[in-house]
Parts: sequence; C-alpha cells; structure tokens
Amino acid sequence: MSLTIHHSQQGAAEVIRAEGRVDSSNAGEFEAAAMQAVDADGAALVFDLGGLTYMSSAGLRVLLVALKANKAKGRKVGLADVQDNVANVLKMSGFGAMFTVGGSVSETLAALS
Amino acid sequence: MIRDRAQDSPHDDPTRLFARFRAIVACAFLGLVVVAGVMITLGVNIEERRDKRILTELLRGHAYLLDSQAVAFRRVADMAAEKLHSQLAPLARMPLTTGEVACGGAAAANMRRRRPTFATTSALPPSGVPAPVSSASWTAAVGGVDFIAIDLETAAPNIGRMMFIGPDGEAAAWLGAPPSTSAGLEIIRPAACAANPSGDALWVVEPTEVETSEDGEFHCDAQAADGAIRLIRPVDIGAWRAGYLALELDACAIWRMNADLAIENGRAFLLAGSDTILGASAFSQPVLGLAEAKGLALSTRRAAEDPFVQPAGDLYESAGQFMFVQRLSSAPWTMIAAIDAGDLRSRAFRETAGRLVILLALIAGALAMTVALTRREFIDPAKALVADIVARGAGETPPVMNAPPGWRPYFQRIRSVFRENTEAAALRQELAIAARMQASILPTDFPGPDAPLAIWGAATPAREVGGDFFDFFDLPDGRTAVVIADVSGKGVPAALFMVLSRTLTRATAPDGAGPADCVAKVNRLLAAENPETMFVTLFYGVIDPLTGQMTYTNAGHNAPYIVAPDGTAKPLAPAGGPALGVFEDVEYAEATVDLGADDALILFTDGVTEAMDPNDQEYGEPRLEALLASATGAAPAQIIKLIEDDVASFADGAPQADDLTMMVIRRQVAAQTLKATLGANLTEIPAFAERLEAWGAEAGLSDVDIHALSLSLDELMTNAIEYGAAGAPAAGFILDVELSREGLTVTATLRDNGTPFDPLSAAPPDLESAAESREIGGLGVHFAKTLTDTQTYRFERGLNVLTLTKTLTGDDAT
Repeated sequence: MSLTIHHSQQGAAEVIRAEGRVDSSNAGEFEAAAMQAVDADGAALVFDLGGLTYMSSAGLRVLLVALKANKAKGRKVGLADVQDNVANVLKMSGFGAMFTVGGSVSETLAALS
Repeated sequence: MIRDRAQDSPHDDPTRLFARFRAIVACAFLGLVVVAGVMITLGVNIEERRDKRILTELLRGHAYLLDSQAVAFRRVADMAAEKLHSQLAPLARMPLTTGEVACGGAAAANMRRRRPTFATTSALPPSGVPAPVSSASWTAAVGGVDFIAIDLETAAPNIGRMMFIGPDGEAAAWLGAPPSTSAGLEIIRPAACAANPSGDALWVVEPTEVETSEDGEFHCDAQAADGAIRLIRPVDIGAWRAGYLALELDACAIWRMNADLAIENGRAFLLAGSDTILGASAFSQPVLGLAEAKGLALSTRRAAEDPFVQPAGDLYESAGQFMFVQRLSSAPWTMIAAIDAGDLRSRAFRETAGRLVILLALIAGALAMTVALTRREFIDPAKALVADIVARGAGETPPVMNAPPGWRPYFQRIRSVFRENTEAAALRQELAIAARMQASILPTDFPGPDAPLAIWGAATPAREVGGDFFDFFDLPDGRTAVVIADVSGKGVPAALFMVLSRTLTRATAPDGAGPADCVAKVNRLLAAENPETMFVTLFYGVIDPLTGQMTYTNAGHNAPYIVAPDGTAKPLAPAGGPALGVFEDVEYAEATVDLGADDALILFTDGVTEAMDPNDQEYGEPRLEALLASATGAAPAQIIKLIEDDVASFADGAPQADDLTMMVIRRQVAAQTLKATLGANLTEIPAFAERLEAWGAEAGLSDVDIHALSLSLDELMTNAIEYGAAGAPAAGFILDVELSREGLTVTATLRDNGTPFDPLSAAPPDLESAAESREIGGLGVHFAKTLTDTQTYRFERGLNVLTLTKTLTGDDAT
C-alpha cells in the first residue's frame, strides 16, 4: 500500500490528506508535502489522517519537523481523524500531547481556532 | 437380468436339464441288448455242443448195440461149429473115397480122402410149415451123432435158422424153420463154396425187401426176407473140410433194431458193404436218403481214406449236415447217419434263446418300469421345480405345482429358501445403498497437512451399516467442532439413530452455546422420542485453531488421547455426563485443555479398544497407548492407518465385532514460519510488510498483533539498513528476517551483516519534553520494546542477531 497525499485549503487552513502508509521508505514524500504546506499562507495546518493505516517513527519525524516549523511561524498544527494504529503510535511516543487531535477536519479546525 | 440369463444360458433351460439321465438310460438299454446278444450266442453255442454230444453218444450206443448183436451171432456159430467138430471127428478116420470134388474142384487140394457124403434123406418140408429138426436125417447124415443140442432161442434171439451144408454143397440139414424155397439153398451153396479156406466166417447179405410207408412205418415180411443175412462158417476137421455151418439172422429183427432208433431231424443207416441197407432209423420228416447220405460221407470224410473202414464214429459237419460214420468191429457193416445241421442249430436256438429272450425281456421290462417310475417320481417333479424356480427368479408367478406327496415337504422347503434368498438379496442391495449413503454423510474432505488443524478420520462398520460416526465442522466464530460418537447396537437401527444424532449435533452446534449446553440440547431432543431406548456415547470438542484451546464435553464416550510430540499419550480428563438419549434432563459438564504445537488428539470408538483376538482377549487401552507413543510426528492419516493395521494384526482374522471408527486432529504450528531476505534498500520494507500481514492472517494473528509485529520489525529493519548497511562486507548487505508462531508465541529474528551495533543499548527516548526540544531518535526501538515481550541482541559469526518474542494477545488491548 503506497502513500497518496492531497494538499488543499479549507477556509484559512491548509489541509494535507495522507492515505496509505508512511514508513522510512516514503517519509521523504510525506515531508516534502508537509513542508510545502508549511510554506503556504494558511492560518492553520491540519493533517487529515483518515486514510492512513500505518505510520512508523519516520512519519512521526515528519510531523515533528512540520510542528516545529509551524510553531516558528506561530501557526497551530492539528491531526484529524486518526486511525487506531496511528493513534497507538502517537500514544506510545507521547506525540499526542503535542498536537491538537480532533475528530473530523472541521472539528479539528474548530478546535484550533 | 435373471430372465435374460435364463434365456441365454442352456444350463438354465429346464427342458435340457435331464439329458444326462436320458443318456444313461439309453446306455443301459444298449448295454442290455449287447449283453443279451452275447448271452444268446454263447447259450446257443453251448446248447449246440450239448446236442451234438448227446447225438454222438446216441449214435455210438446204437453202433455198439448192433456190434454186440453181430458178436452174439458169431458166438452161436462158434459154439455150433464146436459141437459139429467133436461129433464129426470119428468120420475123419474113415478111408478116402474117390468122387467128384465139391465146389467145382476148387477145393480139390482139401479132398485128399473121400469121406461118406451126406445125403439128403428127406424132401424139403412144404413151404410155410415149420418142421422140427429131423433127428433121423441128421443122424443119417452125420453117422448117428445127435449133434444138435443148441437152443436157438436162448443162444441168439434173432437167429432165424441154422443149416449144415456138406463140403460139396450137396447135403444140407437145418434147424429152425425150414427154408421156404429151395432157392434159398441155391443162394447159400455158392457162397459156402467161396467161404474163406482159412476157416474164417463169411457174412453173406441178400438185399431185403422192405417197404417203407409214407409215415415212416416199415413193414417187414419175415417169410419174404428168406435168409437175408447169413453167417457162413467152414467146419474143418484137421485137413478135412467137413462142411459149412450157415446161420441166418432175422432181417426183420435187424430192421426193427434200426427202426427203433429215433433221431430228430436226421436218419441213421446200417450198411453191409457199401450199398446194401441192413436197416434204417425211423424218421418223422423228409431227411437225406441213403444215397445222398452215403455220397456226402464218401465225398467229405477224410478224402484219402475209405470212410467205411474207420472204426470210430465222430460227428462232423458237411454241406449243412452233421455226418456220423462208424465201422462195426464184429461184422463188415458200417453205420452212417446224417442230421440236418440247420435244424439242430435252430432247435438249440429255440431252446436257449427262448429262455434268454424271456429273461431279458423281463429285465428290460423291469428297467423300463424303473425308468418310468424314476421319471414320474423324481425327474419330472425336479424339472417342474427347476421351471418353477426359474419362473420365480424371472419375477413371474408360476401356476401351483402338483408335486408327488413325498416331494411336497422338500418343495415347500426349497421354495421358501429360494424366496428368503431372493428377499435377502433385495435387502442386501438396500443395505448396500444405505451403507453408501451413510458413508457419504461422513466427512471426506479433510484439511491439508499444512492447515492449523490437520484432520483425518475413518470408519469401518462391522456390518453393512454402522452406528459410529465422526464429524468436524467450522463454527461461525472461527473455531472448529470435532465430534465422535458410538450408537448402541449395530446394523440398521444403529445407523438410523446415528444419522439422527449426527444431524442434531450439526444443527445445534452453531448456536454459539458451549459444548456442554449443545450436548445437553441434543440429549433432550434424542431422549424426547426414543421408544427403542437407544443411546449414543458422544465426545464433542470445540478447538480454537489459533490458540489450540479445546473446550469439550464427553457424554459417556471413550476418553480421547492427546499425544504430545515427545510421545506421551494421556487420556483427556473426564468431563461431561451420561450417554445421550436416555434421560431428558441431564446437565453436562465441560472442561478445557490446551493442544500444544504438534499435539495430536486421538478420538476413537470402543471398536478399537474392544477388538478381540482369536483367544477372546481385548485389544485394550495400554496397547493403544504404547502404539500412540510410537506415532510421534506422524500425520493424522498415518496414525489412523497405524492403529487400523495394529488392530487387524491383533485380531489375526477374528471377526470384527464392532464398528471401528477413529478421528485424529493434529495441531500444526511448526509450519507457520515466515522468512524473508532484504538488501540495503528501504523500499523493500512495504513489500515485506504486506507479506507479514498475509502470514499473520493465515497464522491466525489478530490485526493488533500483526501491526505490533509489523511496526517493531519495520523500525528495527530501518535502523539496520540506515545505520549498518554501510559497514557491510563488499559482497553486499543482507538482512534476514524469520518469524514463527508456536502456540501463543511469535518469535522474530533479524540477522544482518552490517556494522555491529546493539540498538537495544540506546538510551530511552524523551517522551515528555515540549515539541521545540524533542529529539526524534530512539523512538523506533522504543516501539519495538513496547510492543514485544522480550528483546535480545547478540553478535555472532559476524552477524547482528536480534530476537524478539511476543505473546499473542488476540484482542485490541495495547
């Protein structure tokens, strides 16, 4: 299962939707897309992970890099619609506390604002 | 089918059945005819010999009789000559006288002295008047010597007359009846003169006039036959021939003697010389005349010899006649006889064959009667019986047979046996169908040897159909139910109850209830309507193929065995209740047992443990346990074959008393291994992850467990590739991964030839600090340590070896 990424704007927010799996073999793609969104003008960044079934520490690194860059710009980062496996990884790594984790994308956006 | 065979095969055709009987009877008749022919031939032959012997004796006797007559006659002549001799002797001393010599001078040499001549002193008496011996004339003639003192009647019965004739033939004197005519003397005189000079007697025969009438009676006139047969004897005194003594036989008496001989179909003659008949036997029908008989005798008998000088008489065959020729010893006479050979033979045939033919006819009649009775009493009823059975075999209803009374019980018996047989055949056919249907109920599609649960089962009914069954099926929750059962009794009732039990078990099992509840429900259903009070012992287990856990209940069945890979065979702990179908309200207990990797569960019925050898010894559990201990590592089908063979060799030909049913379930874990080899390329990881997911699903791992293993290995493999691949030998970096599940434990091993490094030694990551100060390193190893139970690292033979173990959770707990 490969990784598919869509970058879109919803209102003032940048939304990156990732589907499939993120591991060390494709974390580079994920990072490139994330940095593109970081560079964009949106007021907030939301990762829509509803279609992501697997993420290893390589994916966590991308999320951390994106988080740090956004914080530097004063922008908030949210994770929407996290699936079980990924939630488990976030929990084990303690990353859950660093992000605003919500249900749907709109709910997460609401939580961010 | 039966009809077709009856028509096609000659052996089934009742009309041809008893050809052999007919052949035997025909042979017997033929043999009888042959024997009769031989017996008749032999009998006729014997009879003919006997007839010929009797005939020969008869003819010889007759010849002897005639011969003795001639001897007696000669003796009388000798006696008379003796007397004459003594009386005439004085005359010999008288001087010779001259005179004419008698007999024309032929005897001149004898007449050296002339003696007084005998003068005829009296005229011949008148014809027909018997005259007493004239003493005077005899006295005168012989010089006063009374020489006649012979009683003719007593000396020889058939002597008619005695005469004395002078040496010159002139003088004559006689005793007895006087000659009827002087012609008689005229006949005698020349003969007397011709008498043998040496003094032998001479037989002189005149043909006798005998009339033979048509009816064979003969009429002999004694007067007419005047001196027909004479014996003339010279009387010599010294050199002087004193005269001749002539004896005359009664020719009629000789005729009578011959005529008294009666020969059937033949005739005997007495001949003097070669053509003068002295007598002939009486005859009752035309036979050979003398001329023909004599001609035959002359032409055939010892051609070179004169038949009339052969003294011994024998019967010999010539030209259809039996001939007999015998020369008499005391007279120059020959007896000759001819008997019609054909007549003699036909008489012998009549005598013999007549008797034999009657005897044979009686035997043939008896045989024919035996045959007829045999046919009526045995063959025909047997034919009818065969026809009856053939017709019944063809499905027809033949008319009622009319068998002889003696046969009726047998007919009834044979017919009833045949009927029972036919019914039994039909029943067997039904049973065969039932057996096929029953066999089709039993599972035949067994999981392969690589499946989590390898299963094999076999059932061998003691009869056509059995009461045992085994079964296995998947339950909706993914577990597998296994059942083995044994219905009380055997045969059709057991089979029906078996089908019922099996169907109820199958129908009840998927309800989700545990084995105990399920079995209790089946029991209620079976017990509710069970008028025959049959029962079934049943073991019911539910196995989780992933964990090997089995929950079971045992309703009175033999305790199954669990055979561990090390060979120990242990029976399952008892848990359950009584057999099903007896009491309605019974609660059943259940228990749980774990089947380890490669453990085999042996289910069987008592047909195995209670199999008997020829000495009525039971196979028994100990022997089964010992056998199972040797079956370590064998596949279920092999284990069943092993048990079947062992039971068969134990029984050693003793009949199988009970159904023999087994099912073996073996938990396969060792085969669940995943191996993969990767190079120094992270892009190979997703493909490995897909294989891992597929393997995990097949090995029965839950999604959570699969993810845990996948993530742990991903992190460690990524580390090994990113940080160790550079330090690999020139040949290239190699990363081997191996996963195996054994029971509830999965073991994962990673081996690589990269830079020696123990990832487990790294410090735990910072999980608390704020995002700005967070380091990303160490998270992967942290995940692996979190998600697996044990982690070990070692460096051996140039390889980093990382080993993880994880106990499967099977749920969503993290």
